[in-house]
Amino acid sequence: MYEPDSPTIDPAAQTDDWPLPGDPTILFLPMGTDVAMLERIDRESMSFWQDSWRRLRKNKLALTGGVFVILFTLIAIFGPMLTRYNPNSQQLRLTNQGPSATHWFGTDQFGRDLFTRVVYGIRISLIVAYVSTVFSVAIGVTYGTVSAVLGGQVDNVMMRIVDIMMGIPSLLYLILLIVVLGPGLWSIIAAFALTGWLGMARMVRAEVLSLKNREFVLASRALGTRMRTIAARHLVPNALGTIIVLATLSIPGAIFAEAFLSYIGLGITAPQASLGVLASDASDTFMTFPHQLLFPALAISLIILFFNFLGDGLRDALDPKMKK
Amino acid sequence: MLRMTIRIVVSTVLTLWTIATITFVLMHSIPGSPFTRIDDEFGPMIQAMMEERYGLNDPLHVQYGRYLANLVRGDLGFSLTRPGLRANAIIARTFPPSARLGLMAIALSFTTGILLGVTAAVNQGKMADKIALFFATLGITTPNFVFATLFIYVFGVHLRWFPVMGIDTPAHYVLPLVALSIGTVAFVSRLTRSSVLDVIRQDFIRTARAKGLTRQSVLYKHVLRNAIIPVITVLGPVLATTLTGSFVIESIFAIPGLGNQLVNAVSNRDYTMIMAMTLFFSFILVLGNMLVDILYSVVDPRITLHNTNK
Repeated sequence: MYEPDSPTIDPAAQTDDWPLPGDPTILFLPMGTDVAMLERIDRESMSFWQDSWRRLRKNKLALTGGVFVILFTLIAIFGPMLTRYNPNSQQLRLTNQGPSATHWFGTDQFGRDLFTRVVYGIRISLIVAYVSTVFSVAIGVTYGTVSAVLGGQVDNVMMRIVDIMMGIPSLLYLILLIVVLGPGLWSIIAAFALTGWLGMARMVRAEVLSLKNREFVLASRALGTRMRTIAARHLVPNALGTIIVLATLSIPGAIFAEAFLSYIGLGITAPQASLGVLASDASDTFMTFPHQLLFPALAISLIILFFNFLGDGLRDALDPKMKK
Repeated sequence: MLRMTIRIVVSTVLTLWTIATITFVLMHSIPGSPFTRIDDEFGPMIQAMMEERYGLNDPLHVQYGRYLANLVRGDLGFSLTRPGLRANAIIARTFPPSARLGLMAIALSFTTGILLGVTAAVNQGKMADKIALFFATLGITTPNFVFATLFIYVFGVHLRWFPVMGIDTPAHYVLPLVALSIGTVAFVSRLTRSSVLDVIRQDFIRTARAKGLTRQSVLYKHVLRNAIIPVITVLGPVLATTLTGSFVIESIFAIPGLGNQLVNAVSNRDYTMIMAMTLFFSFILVLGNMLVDILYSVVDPRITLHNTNK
């Protein structure tokens, strides 16, 4: 916040040097215009991203979320190095053990090390979430930008299609899609990508529409740039804030939907196991071995929580208009 | 008003048609015929007879026309794994308990959620707000089957307060109802909180207080009336989550409902039943959303502004 320096008046000095009343030439002195002063730049100029980072940095919750999101991602990538067990090797003499020094989270009904399985579960769940989000962002951004850039009747028809598809309950169609494609990692990713792009397309279109008529786009067109180049160089990069926020906030949704699908038997197929599969398997044995549900469920909740923190923080930082 | 209604109805019909078409295409893109299993058991001749009987040898557009005509008449086909049982009969038998549970869950979600949200907003930053935030976070980040399992363990098996299987007495409803609505309660309470906080800062609230109205009367007559509108607009999404949540909850608590049937159909790969129930659920959701949309434009003329896509 900028505050002008308030003039300091020394009361002691006032008695002696006080100008005589009725002498306007001394009372009112012209300020003059100091051109150098007017043009002076007080601080370094900040790019949009620096400004957003500054806002994000102040938000403790968002930073915590960001740190843990990175941590979970690192676990997903390097996790297998943390453990000396194979997630699928069964030790039938060591089934359903509680947490101990050798098996940190205990073992499951086949004697598999639960810590290792949770680590691999985080990996699978995050692969599903990240990859499907990348695909739905790609489809949504392309569709939304094309619709906004072409405008007119084409835009109208393209958006009516989105409206109609938005009316279709997506979770039900996920079930149908996966029944058709057969359960498995790639069909889940494909199904999420196919149902997840609609919201993205709508938001990106709105964003691009508002950017399309700005002066910098006009300038670029005046210079003879093709619309396709303008879209790629100016419109999409300027909508990136919205895109990042939506992508971050869509990840918890994907993890939740994957857990739901696992529970009704349409999740990732063995030998791979996502967190959802681990949790739904463990809910069968929960009465006798509650710890088997505790760890995967905790991992799901924490991942969703931290992505929500980060997403909300990013929304406030990147797109203050969207703040509720 | 009339134009608005016509527009909503037209787009609803289009959505229903799209849903029906997508379902048809998806089901016909499954490799092999639905009677492959019969082929394994009884040989190719029986399979050919079955395919003839159900018209699977007709050209695709004829099948599509017949399918749409059947849908318009409300005929959803037959079950593959339970021969002789029509999908309509199964749905008619299992829908009532599901509808009862679902409607109660929605009522519970909104009453509890709004109550929690208002309490949190009025006590912003205080203990009550923090406790509400904690439970809302828990509700939003935990899958409902985890809650259901936990409730069965704690209240059903350990404390023996409530029965956990079926829906024979009112006490049977308690645990499934809470497990089904806990996520939506959390969602609705967060939404109510931010909406109430928005309204509380408006000028007309200050005016009402300045006129000398009591806090209570301002809260109920001025704040709530305005704050509740954005909350009610999520009725559509809440309907959807409650419905899909019911699949899991019904199968955990062994409730003989439609959601349980769907989960069974999925695990038996009963394609025609999956298709029939997906269609039924989608139609309910889409028609529910249509009614809700029309109601909004009646209740609050301002809402039409949000619906236009500009």
